[in-house]
Amino acid sequence: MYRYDEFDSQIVKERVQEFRRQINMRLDGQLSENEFKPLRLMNGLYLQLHAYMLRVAIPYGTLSSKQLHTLAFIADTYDKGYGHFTTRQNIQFNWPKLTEVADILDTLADVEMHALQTSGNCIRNVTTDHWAGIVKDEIEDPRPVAELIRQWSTLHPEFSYLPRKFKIALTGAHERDFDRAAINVHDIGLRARLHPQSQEIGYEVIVGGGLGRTPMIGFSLKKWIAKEQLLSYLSAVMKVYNLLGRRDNKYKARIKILVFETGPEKFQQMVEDAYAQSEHISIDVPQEEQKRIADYFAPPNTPKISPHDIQQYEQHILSQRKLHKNFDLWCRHNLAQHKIPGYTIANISLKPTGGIPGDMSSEQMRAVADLAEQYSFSEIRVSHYQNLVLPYVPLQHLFNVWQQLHERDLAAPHHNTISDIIACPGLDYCSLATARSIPVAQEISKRFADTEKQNLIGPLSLNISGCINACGHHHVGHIGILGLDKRGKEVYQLLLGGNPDQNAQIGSVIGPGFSYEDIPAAVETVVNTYIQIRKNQDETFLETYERVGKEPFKEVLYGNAP
Amino acid sequence: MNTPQDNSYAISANRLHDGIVVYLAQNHQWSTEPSHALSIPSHEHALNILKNTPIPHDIIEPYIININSQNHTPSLFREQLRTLGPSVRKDLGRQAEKIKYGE
Ligand code: HEM
Ligand code: SF4
Repeated sequence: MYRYDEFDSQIVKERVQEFRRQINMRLDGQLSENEFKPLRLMNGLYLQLHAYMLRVAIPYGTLSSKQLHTLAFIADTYDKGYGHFTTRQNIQFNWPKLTEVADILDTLADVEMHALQTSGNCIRNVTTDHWAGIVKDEIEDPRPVAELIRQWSTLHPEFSYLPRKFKIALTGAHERDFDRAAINVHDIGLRARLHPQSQEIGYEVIVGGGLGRTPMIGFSLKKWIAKEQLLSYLSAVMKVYNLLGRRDNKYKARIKILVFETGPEKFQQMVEDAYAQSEHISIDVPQEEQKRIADYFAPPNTPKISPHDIQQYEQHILSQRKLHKNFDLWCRHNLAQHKIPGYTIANISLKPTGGIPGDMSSEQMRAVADLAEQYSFSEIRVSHYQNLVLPYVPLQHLFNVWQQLHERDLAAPHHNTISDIIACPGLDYCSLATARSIPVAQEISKRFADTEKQNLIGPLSLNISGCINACGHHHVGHIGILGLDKRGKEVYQLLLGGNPDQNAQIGSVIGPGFSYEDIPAAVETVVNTYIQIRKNQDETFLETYERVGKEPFKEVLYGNAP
Repeated sequence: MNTPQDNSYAISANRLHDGIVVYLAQNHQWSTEPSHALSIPSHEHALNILKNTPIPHDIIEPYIININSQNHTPSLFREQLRTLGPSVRKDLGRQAEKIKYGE
């Protein structure tokens, strides 16, 4: 499994020591708040509505049992017994004391974790498909390339003061398959691709996507580049960005605005020119180095399971499914096909009916860490859907794993359904929020708690943000909700038709907003309308929406009033 | 809703060492209790206090909020949540302490 190399753990340890000194200088008055604030942000420490918040990175969404135990320990020792998983493969602690933050970071560093690059105008922690390296039928595990990018970008002087924060996401899935990393809505998205002639694995470079105030879908800057040249090419992109990027207006400083204002073709030409010129200082990565890094991500030594045994285990699972309805539903929704026969990918839900999306108690963390240790080679994945994954569950243990998850309220069988809601912390925690998002998610999940109804609806995503920063990805939910403030009252805009995957699309606002009390019913109305007007049960919400457009939904939501 | 007569101002901030929400009270003291907040009749006055009160080292990011002069409840929902804690976790924040002490 992935580990830092020694060089990196040294850097992380030194950074903690340095930050400890800075905290002490702040506490005894040698540093003013103005001097200290950028330093704490560089170390992932924000000031939120009620207290500080510490954002800890989970590189590539890959965690070990030991690391998850450590997170549980931190939650109990320094926080209030829980953590919040975000949409960027981070975990946030909501109540740390400044006086204890250095101890928390030291504890994290002991298990090779940190809070670097989780804030500020740097290249943020690189995110990937949470099924990377385990899902059947991917072109390759993109994490070694992600790691290469991290090593290149971490603490790189040229990238520590960018015009704005910069987010990179990768997927190794085929273009025809589902993009679980939302690469089209990142500053840079990378997708593994086979060269049309040679079949060599390279990457497509998509640039200029993003959500927030000005949502945009990225555009394909380069259809294919060899892995060896990828960093050189990305350097050229960063060079053009750093050169042209606006520093006068933070809302216009994202690369998406630059691409838009320059024009995609011209931007492309500039990158190509920069790339051609930089050849003498290029940072091509030789194959040996690629291999060295890829070895960090080597899969665990999974014992081979014979076809005969697999058949037996499958039979056993089938009979258990007949006996336990919830287990049956969970198998139907929450499992994914593993690339290794006899194993499965089991998705853990952090969205129990009426629960807080992404929140996890320390007790649940310990339970999952133990389960992973016993049944998933000590590995856990974190998804940007605010859920977790057990990546290597042998089929013979599946029922047992489900039972244990079920006991801890971690087995809601609604992966990819309307109850699997993404929601940012909103006004309950966030100082930038204009409205609450969590209780809206809770109420809607209660209304759609009936699993029969979830099945009837089929795959449908609902994403909620508490302000235009769009941390809850509301623009790319099939149904999106944006909480705003209108003269002191929470008002919720409803968006339809968003899509985060390979056919990415920004949802559009359907009409005037709804009150806090009315928004759950408005969502129900949309869903019921979809069920009534879809051609058949196989037509998905997005297909129906594409076919009929906004009007039928508008009509039921607002009547025929102009 | 505040009637115009009830509308008044207070100064809120966070504590440096633990980030907890505090309010400027009498005699340059800072309190975690909004009911202890100094009620200031005008925005201009509040600005003046903000400018001229020495801000202790343990107090960060002070700013002016609207409150009801009668019961000291903040006017904005955001500030109400800030006095209480998350609306989705009644067991956390100042609201939890209140429950604990049976107020
Ligand atoms: C509670 C503290 C948080 C603060 C202060 C915060 C702040 C922000 C801000 C200011 C932006 C806008 C970026 C821009 O305009 O370029 C943003 C974007 C974003 N945040 Fe947060 N956020 C917070 C929590 C979260 C959480 C909990 C999540 C995940 C659930 C999250 C995920 C994201 C994502 C994915 C974006 C990207 C939108 C884009 O593509 O531009 N953030 N955040
Ligand atoms: S979308 Fe807005 S409210 Fe939600 S976490 Fe981001 S900044 Fe806060």
